[in-house]
Order: sequence, then structure tokens, then C-alpha cells
Amino acid sequence: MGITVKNLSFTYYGSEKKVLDEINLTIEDGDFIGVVGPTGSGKTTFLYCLNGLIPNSIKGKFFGEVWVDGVLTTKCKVSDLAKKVGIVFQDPDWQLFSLTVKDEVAFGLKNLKMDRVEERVKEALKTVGLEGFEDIEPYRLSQGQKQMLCIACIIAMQPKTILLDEPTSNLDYKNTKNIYSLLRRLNKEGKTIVVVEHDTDLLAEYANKILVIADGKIVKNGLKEEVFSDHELLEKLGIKIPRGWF
Amino acid sequence: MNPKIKLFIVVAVSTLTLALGWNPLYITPIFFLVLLSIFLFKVYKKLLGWLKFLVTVGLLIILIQTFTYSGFGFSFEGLTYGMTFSLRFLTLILLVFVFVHTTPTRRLVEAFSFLPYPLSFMLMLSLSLLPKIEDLAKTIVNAQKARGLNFKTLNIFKVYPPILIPLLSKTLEKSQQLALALQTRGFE
Repeated sequence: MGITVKNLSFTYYGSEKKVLDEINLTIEDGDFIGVVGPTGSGKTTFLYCLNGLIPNSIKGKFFGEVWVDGVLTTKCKVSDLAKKVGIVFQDPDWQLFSLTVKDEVAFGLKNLKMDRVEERVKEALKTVGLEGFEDIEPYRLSQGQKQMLCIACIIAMQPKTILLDEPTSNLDYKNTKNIYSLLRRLNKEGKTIVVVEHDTDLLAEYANKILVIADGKIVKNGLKEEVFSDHELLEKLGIKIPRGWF
Repeated sequence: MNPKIKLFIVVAVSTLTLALGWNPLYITPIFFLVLLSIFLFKVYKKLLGWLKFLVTVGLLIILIQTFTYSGFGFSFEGLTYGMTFSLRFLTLILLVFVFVHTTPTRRLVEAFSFLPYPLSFMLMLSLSLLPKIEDLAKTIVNAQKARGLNFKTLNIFKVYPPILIPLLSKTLEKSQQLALALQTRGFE
């Protein structure tokens, strides 16, 4: 059923400026969408609307509707939506807090009272290549491994959609490629991926659709071939034209 | 050693320290025992950074009590009271210091596992945040040093705000992100 966004507008509490303005969009199951746009254009806010953090946890003036698999986000708790939409934030250091890697992955499963916790933890760690690290303290992992662990925490809960907010901004090239290869694999297994990313080269390689947000509005949405061919728009917004698309 | 036994010893010694009247002679042996444990557990190197601060606070307590205990002016009762107070303070601080520095975080949380889940979870969360805040503080201190902030000046109003303000705002911002991350993983 995917995600449907209808006339979505949002203004943060205490602010007058609309961060999102009349957004309409459909995300189909199995999409791999890259979200690009200038800094402060509303990309992260848009992600927070897709998993119900806005308006359930972050307050402000919210208008419109976001439907996730037929469920209206305003009528559902964030914890219930966690089973459908998972999110990986930019900085892994401030998402990890447990004493061991396996406890970290099990945390969400236990909160959501899911069954086969041990098995799911094992599977998730295997998927991200962290088997053998079960009893390690998360802070001992490298930055790339920490981000992989954050993804494991989400995929263990088996949501249909995974949102990622600049997941590779602190990572080197090798770890960045590892993360994107994993995302491609998850996408091929049927997960919907929505990733906010400034590196258009990566999106040109891995995503199939691109969403361009500027000043809280969707200014372009379509297949990557279509969006990345619009050089005039990309240049106007200061978005890098990916290599091979000149 | 089992962290729960360690915790029991800490609680027992703390209670004894607080219960032993106001004669410094009673508390002195406990103080030296705790001091000895610092050397036995080889955590004295970690204490070096704090030594100046602890000795200053200890001496200040004695000084203030000696001259203010019964009005302004020297009093022997004040000196005795100040010494006891100071020894108690140092004994308790050093006791907790030894406990924390000889127990890995994981075992520290185990020691408090008898607490209800929300409390032990909060404790674990706080302990996990400490190294992150420390890293953040180091980054901010280095950034301000690079911009010419002189840490040798005694003007605390000049030194602390450029560190504490960004540290506080960044910690709050990051804590909010952590709170969001917890919710998205089903924590209510």
C-alpha cells in the first residue's frame, strides 16, 4: 500500500515559517528514493512526518494527511508506526546506548513485544555483517560499524519502509559504499528505502527515484534519469549534478 | 568481585562514615582504609586530575568551619567539626571513585539491576551518555583554544561561558535526537 502524503504542511512550534508547504506524494512499495535539496529545505522534517514523529512527538502546526499502509499517522502512536516505518538518524553515537550490541538490537523488539527476539537479533546482525560482535559494547565499534548497528536495530523490527537521514555524512568512502550496498540489498528484498543524501553520485548509482525539496516544497519528483537530466534546476538549487549526467 | 557485593560494601562504609559522630579520630581510620584501597586497586593515576580540586575543597571546608562555627573568629570546636566534615566528604567521594573506576559500566548497571526497569534504564542511559558528553566537551575546549581562548586566566566568567553554552545547547539537541530514536524503537 505504500505511503501517501496529502497536502502536508508543517510549521515548527514558535516559528512562523512553513517548513513543509503543501506536499503531495505517493511512495510505492519497493521504491528506493533519494531526497535532495539545499540545507534547511525541510528534508529531515519530511522524514519525521513519514514515521509519525511529527506531529505525535514534535509539536507544531500540522496540516494534511500522511497514510502509512492505510493507517493515518495522526491516529497512531510512534511506537506502533515503528513496526511499519523505521528511521536511522544522522549521528549513530546518539542513537546507541545499550551495554552490548545484542541488547541494542533487542531493545526495540522487546519494547514492541515481538517474538523470537534472539533469532531476529542474530539475523539482523548477520545482514549488516556484525555477527561475532554480539557481546561488544557499541561504543567500541568503528563509526561505520555503529551506523551498520543502527540499521540492524531497525531491520530487526522488520518494517516495510526504512528512512535514513544522511546516514553516511560522517563516514569514509569504503563505509559509505558498504552502507549503500546494504541498502540496495534490502531494497531488492522488498524494503522501501527513503534516504536524505547530499551526495548525488551515490543516489545516481543506487536510487531509482529522486525527490527534490526546496523551501518546503517538492520542486521535482520522478525517476532519477528524469530529475538528474534537469541541469538547470539542479544548478539553480546548488545541487551537484552527478558524474556521468553532464 | 560481584558488583552487588561491591555496592553493599560502599553503602555499608558510607553509612558507617555518616553514623560515627563528630570526632575526626573515628573517621580517620576509614578514610585511610579507602585511601589504601585506591592504591590496592591501582586507580591512583585516575585520581591525580581530581586531587587538586578535592584537597582545595577539603581545606576550604576546614577553614570555613574553623572561623565561622561559633560566630566569626577561631574556635577549636569549629576546627574539629570542619575536619570531621572534610574527612567525611573526602571518604564518601573517594569511596564512590574507587567503586566507579574498578567496575566496568556493564557491571555497574548489573549492580543496580534490583531497581525497577525505568530507573535502571535511566541509569544505563545516563552512564552511556557520559563519554559522549566528555568527547563533546573536549571538542568544544579544543575549538575554543584554537580561537585563542586563554584557559590560564582566572576569570571564570571569561573561560566557562564559551564552553558551557555550546556544550549545553549541543547536549540538549543531541538528547532530543536520542529521545526521538528511543520512540522510533518502541520506547514509551
